Amino acid sequence: MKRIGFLIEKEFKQIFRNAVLLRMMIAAPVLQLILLSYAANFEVKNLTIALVDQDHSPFSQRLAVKFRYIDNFRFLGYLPAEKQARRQLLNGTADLVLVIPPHFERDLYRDNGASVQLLINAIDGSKAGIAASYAGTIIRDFNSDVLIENFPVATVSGQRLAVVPQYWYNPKLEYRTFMVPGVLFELMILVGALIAALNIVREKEIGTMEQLNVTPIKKYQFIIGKLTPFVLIGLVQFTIGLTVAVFLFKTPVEGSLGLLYGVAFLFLLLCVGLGLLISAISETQQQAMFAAFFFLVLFILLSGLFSSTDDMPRWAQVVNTINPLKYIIEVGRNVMLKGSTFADVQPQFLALLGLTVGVISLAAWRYRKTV
Amino acid sequence: MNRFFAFVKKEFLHIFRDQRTLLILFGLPFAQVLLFGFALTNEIKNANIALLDNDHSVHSQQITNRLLSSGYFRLRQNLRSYADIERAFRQGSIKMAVVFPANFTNDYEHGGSAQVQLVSDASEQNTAISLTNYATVIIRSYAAEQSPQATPPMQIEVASRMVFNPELRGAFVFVPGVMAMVLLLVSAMMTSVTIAREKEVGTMEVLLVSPLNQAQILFGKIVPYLLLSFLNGCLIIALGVFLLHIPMNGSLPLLLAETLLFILLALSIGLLISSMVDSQLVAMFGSLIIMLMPTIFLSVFIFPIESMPRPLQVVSNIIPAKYFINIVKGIMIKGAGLGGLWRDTAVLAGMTVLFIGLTLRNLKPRLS
Repeated sequence: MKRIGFLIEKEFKQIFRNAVLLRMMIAAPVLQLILLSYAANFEVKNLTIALVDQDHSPFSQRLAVKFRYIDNFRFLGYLPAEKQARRQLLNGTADLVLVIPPHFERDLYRDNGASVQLLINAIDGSKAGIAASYAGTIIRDFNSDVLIENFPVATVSGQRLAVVPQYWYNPKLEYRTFMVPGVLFELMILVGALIAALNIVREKEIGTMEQLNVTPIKKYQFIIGKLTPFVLIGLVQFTIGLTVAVFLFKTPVEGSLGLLYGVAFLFLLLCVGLGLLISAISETQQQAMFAAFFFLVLFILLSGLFSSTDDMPRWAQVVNTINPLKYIIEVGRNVMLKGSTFADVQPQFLALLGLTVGVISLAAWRYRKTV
Repeated sequence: MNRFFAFVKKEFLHIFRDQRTLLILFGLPFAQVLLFGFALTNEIKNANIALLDNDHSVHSQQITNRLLSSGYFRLRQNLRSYADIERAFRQGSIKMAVVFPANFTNDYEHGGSAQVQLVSDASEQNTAISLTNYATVIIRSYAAEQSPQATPPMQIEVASRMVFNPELRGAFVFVPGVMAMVLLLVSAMMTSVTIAREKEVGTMEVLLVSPLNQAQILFGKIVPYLLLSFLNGCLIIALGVFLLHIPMNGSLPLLLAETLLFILLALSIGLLISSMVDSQLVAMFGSLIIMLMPTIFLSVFIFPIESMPRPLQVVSNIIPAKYFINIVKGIMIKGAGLGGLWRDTAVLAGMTVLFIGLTLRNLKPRLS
């Protein structure tokens, strides 16, 4: 026990002496949590729209006005022809172009209907879909205005079937509410795993590993001694991050705080264990860093923070079964936003537990005292 | 000049002798681009939903069938009460519940206003909105077919044309993003450790007493990595075109030149970090922690910049990946030429010059 204590003391001394690193470890994640949570927003706002009016009739003017004063759109101006419109789409100044064809008004009266064309920059497919639906709504509104105006008596008998959406747990559809827990855990794995990964390799590279190897310290003592300081620092980080989330972003904590800390502790153990495993199989700090980079980016992008894990192809879901970040983000969201209990998140908890035990035993097995 | 080449040769030997790192250098971008090119998608497929049917009628069944045959939804369970919905959400087993109230058919057929409720778990809010939208469209079209009244007069139709990406493929967004991220981080991380390592193991002193001047040391560090990373970049572009089917509408030489510029920028960021710190640990931590997340979040990789709060839009201007993603999309997908991209190119070039200048200033001929 005493030996472990000494090792932990040594680790803490090393950490506290490196002021630059310590500052980065605490400040960088908190700063990023704040910045990135504001940035994380799939909402589509400020779409730029240009108009090509080839009809120049009172009616086309009215339609144009509809688009000019809508919150989601920013009106760029009129363009003479479709050719210029294409150029605006090409250089990215316009997201949408509404083309009102010649004889628009005449067709509307004579043929009882007319069509307009909407050109949408669709490189970002999901954004384009949303833009199209916004525009569709505006035109539907316009249609019913026209209808009521021209046929006040024969107004159609309303919609008989109403679809009522209810958004539970996040009725205002705030992005931050669901992003904050995810970003928090993401930063924890990034810092925890990376620092731990570089730690042992560094001892190898500068030769102090040899010194540790000739001490009477046991394997398990070594592992515990290396794990403890980083897990403690991680818990401090988690506490700061949680405070920021609750007080700055008003993220609710519906479920038990104890449960949240319990799972966060397990997750940290896993992160640090992962770091130790990487460092046990690497020879130089550079190798350790690249290996850590590979796994961390893999975990982060597949975690379900950016695109739903259910929509990923089968094989990606298989890869995801070993993704600790996926489980912890599910737990974080369920416990914080929905108030899930331990029974609800048991599958994720067991998966995390299994991964932790697996990773730490692998790291212990790979660590050799002999060279 | 001879000295310079000798130095470059030394750097190459360093790189090639560490075969594991070399393997990672080429394997990693390859694996990541492939993985994320295929795995990241915003298309909704087979989302788990539950049904709370208090009506048990032909209408409710037909609407349910419509929803399920659309391919967007998969029925996970039938529920009995609202409490069941809550329970299912807490376990995370479903994303949405479709609720038919008890007198649905009655209301629907006798002119009242019948309601279908779509209860979604908005803790995953993006999915919640998409699912609700898809289901709404399907239910409305059912209702429209049920009441075949003559189409109302004087209606304007919209013909939407999805320019540049008619099939709305997610890869068009994600592949340029992954490309920028991988190139930037791998290049910057590689160089960030080189000078720091020389300092750490003490060989920096040897370099400083050699007749090489700072500029020669700096460019000697850049050249080998520039070649390697460029090779990497070409590989990634080939993957994008042949395996992920990103079109190549613009000029390939222009794209390669821009890639080279971007790599040079990434390398100079790495060197700047390297020249400022004393240990590899701090260098790596700095390059990975400080660059990874902002590159993912603040370039156009995942989130649209126009929707961010104003201050963040300003911050996003210092993220190099933003400009490169713009350039890649411009050349490959839109087929734009230098004429439309000169601004992005100028920013990248300006940043490169700035960083190289700062590094030269930091590389003092003396150790403190």
